[in-house]
Amino acid sequence: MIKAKDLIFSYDCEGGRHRSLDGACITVRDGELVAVLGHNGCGKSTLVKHFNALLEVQKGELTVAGLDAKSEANIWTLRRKVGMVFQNPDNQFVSSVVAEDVAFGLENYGVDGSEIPERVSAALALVGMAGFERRSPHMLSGGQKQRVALAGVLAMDPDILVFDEVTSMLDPDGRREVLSVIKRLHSQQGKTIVMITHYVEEAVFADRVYLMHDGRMLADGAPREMLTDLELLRRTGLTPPTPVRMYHDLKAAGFELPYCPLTNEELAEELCRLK
Amino acid sequence: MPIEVKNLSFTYSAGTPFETSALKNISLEIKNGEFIGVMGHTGCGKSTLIRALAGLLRPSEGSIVVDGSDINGRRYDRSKLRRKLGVVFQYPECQLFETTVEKDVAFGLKHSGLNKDEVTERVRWALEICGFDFEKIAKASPMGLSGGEKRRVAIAGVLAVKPEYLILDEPIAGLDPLGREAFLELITGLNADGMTIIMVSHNADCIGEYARRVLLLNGGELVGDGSPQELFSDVERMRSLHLGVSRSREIAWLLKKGGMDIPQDICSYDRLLPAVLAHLRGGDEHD
Ligand SMILES: Nc1ncnc2c1ncn2[C@@H]1O[C@H](COP(=O)(O)OP(=O)(O)OP(=O)(O)O)[C@@H](O)[C@H]1O
Ligand SMILES: Nc1ncnc2c1ncn2[C@@H]1O[C@H](COP(=O)(O)OP(=O)(O)OP(=O)(O)O)[C@@H](O)[C@H]1O
Ligand SMILES: [Mg+2]
Ligand SMILES: [Mg+2]
Repeated sequence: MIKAKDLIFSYDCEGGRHRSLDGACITVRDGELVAVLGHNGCGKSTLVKHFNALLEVQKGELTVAGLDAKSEANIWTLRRKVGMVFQNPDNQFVSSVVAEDVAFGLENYGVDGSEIPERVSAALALVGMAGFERRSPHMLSGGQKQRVALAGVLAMDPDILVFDEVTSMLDPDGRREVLSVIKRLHSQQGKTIVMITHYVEEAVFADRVYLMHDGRMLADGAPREMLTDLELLRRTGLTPPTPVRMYHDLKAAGFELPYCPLTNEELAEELCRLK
Repeated sequence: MPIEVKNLSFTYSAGTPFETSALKNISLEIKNGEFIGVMGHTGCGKSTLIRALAGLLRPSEGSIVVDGSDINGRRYDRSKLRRKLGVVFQYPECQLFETTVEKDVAFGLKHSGLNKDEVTERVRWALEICGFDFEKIAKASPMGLSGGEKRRVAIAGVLAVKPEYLILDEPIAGLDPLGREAFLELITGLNADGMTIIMVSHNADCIGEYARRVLLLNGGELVGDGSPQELFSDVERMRSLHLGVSRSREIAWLLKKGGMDIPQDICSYDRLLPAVLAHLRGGDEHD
C-alpha cells in the first residue's frame, strides 16, 4: 500500500521556490492498479519519485508498504520494493550491454548469481527483446530502448511497480503488448501498480484513476466515472476519449445512447443497435 | 526545391555481428509545402531515415538531394543544410545542454546574422508559440523541467531558426492532450505559411487528422506512400504492419462491420460525426 498525505515539494531553484507538489494525496491499495493523468509539469514524476525515496519528503506524510518514507533507514528497502521505469529510458541505462544492464539491478540487490541469467532472459523475452542481449542500449531504436528499460525493472520482480509513461515511444502493437504485461502483473501476480500516462484510453482498465493538476489531486474514482465527466476532464486539461466526445455530440444533436461508451467497440455496438 | 531520396540504403555496424540493415533501397520525393507523416513499427528505420535526411549518416548506397545538391557530395556546404532543415530528434531532452532555456533556444541562431535584440525577440516568439510564458521560463534551467516541458523547449529551439523543412521524430510523445493539440495546430499553421513538415509518429490520430501524405515503413522498406484516406482504408493491412489507424477511421470501420453504411474513407472526427448523424437521421450522407 502507498499512502501519501499532503505532500509538498519544491526543487530548489533560482528565483524563488516553486511548489512542484502542493498538497498531493494519493492512496494505492495492495494489488490495486492506479492510473495518474495530468498536464505537463503538474508533478506526476515528482510524486512517484517519492515512492522509492529518490526524492526526500519535505512536508507531509508518506508510507509505502508499511514503511515511513521519511526515515532514512528505510531508503534501501524502498528502492528494493518499488521498481520504477522512468519517462526517458536513457536515464535508466547503466551498462553498454543490454543483458548486463538488465542484470545490474539483480546483482545490486544480491540475487543469487546462478539465477540471474535466467531472469534476464525471461524479462527480455517478456518485452519482446530476446536476441538483443549483446547489443548496446544506445544502438537501439527509441521503442526498443523503452522495452529494455522495462525489462530491467521486470527482472527485479518488485512488489510495487511504477510506470512513468512507458508506452510513449511504442507502436500500437507494442503498446498493446506492454499494457497486457502490466495487466497480467496486476491480475495474475497481484502487484501494486501506479501507471502515469497522457493517453486516457490507457487509463480505462485501471481500477482507479487520479486526475492531477498543479501539484495536487483534483479527483479520483473509477475510470468510467472520471473519463466520461466532460467538465472534470476540461478542468484537468484532458480531452475526452473519442467515444465520449461522440456520445456528447450526438446527445446535443438529439440522439441519446443508453450509456456513455468508453471504447470504440462499445460505441460501435451502441450505434449499430440504435439503427 | 524538393528533397529527393534516391535508392537509399543504410546499414549499421557493417561487418560486425551487430550488422543491421536499417534502410533498404528507399526512393521518394518530398515537395515544398507538403505535410508528411511517417509511420512504421518499432525499429523499422524511421529515425535512421531522419538522421540520413539531416546529413548525420552517410548512406551505404544511394543519395539524398536537397534543393538540387547531393548533401553527401564532397563540395556540399553543410551549414547550408543546417539553416534549411530543422530537426527535432526522438529524445530531444538530450539536445538541451545550456544553462538557461533562453540560451538553449538561442543556440541555433548563433550564425544567423541577427543582432542581440533580434535574437531575444526570436527566442521569445519561439517559446511563446510553444506555449510558454517567456518571462517565467527564460531563465530556468532546462535540466529542471518536466519531460513534456523539455520537449517543448527543444521544439522551440528548432522553430527559432525558422527552417524551410521541419523534421520531427515523435514530437508529441510525452505531450499532454492539450499540448498535443496546440502543437499540431501550430505546425499546421506553419505549414500553411509554406514550411514543409515531415513528422514521424506512432499516433495514427495525429497523422490521420493532420498529415496530407503518409509514408509507411516496414523492416527498412517503403511499403506505402499515399494519403491517410488511401492507406487507412485497408485496416487489416495496417494491422499486419503492426500499425493502427486513426480512432475515427477505426470507428467507421467497426460501424461498417456492424452493418452501418458509413463511408470508409473517413479518417478524421470532423467527417465522422456528420456521417454518423446523417445516418441516424436516415438521410443521404452530406459532409
Ligand atoms: N530537477 C528539477 N529541478 C527543478 N524543477 C523541476 C525539476 N524537475 C521538475 N521540476 C519542475 O517541477 C514541476 C513538476 O515536474 P514533473 O516532472 O513532476 O511533472 P510531470 O507531471 O511529470 O510532467 P510531464 O508530463 O511533462 O512529465 C514542473 O514545473 C517542473 O518544471
Ligand atoms: N547506432 C545503432 N547501431 C546499430 N543498430 C542500430 C543503431 N541505431 C538503430 N539501430 C537498429 O536499426 C534499426 C532501425 O532503427 P531506428 O532507430 O531507425 O528505428 P525506428 O523506426 O526509429 O524505431 P522506433 O519507433 O522504435 O523509434 C533497429 O533495428 C535498431 O535496432
Ligand atoms: Mg513526468
Ligand atoms: Mg525512432
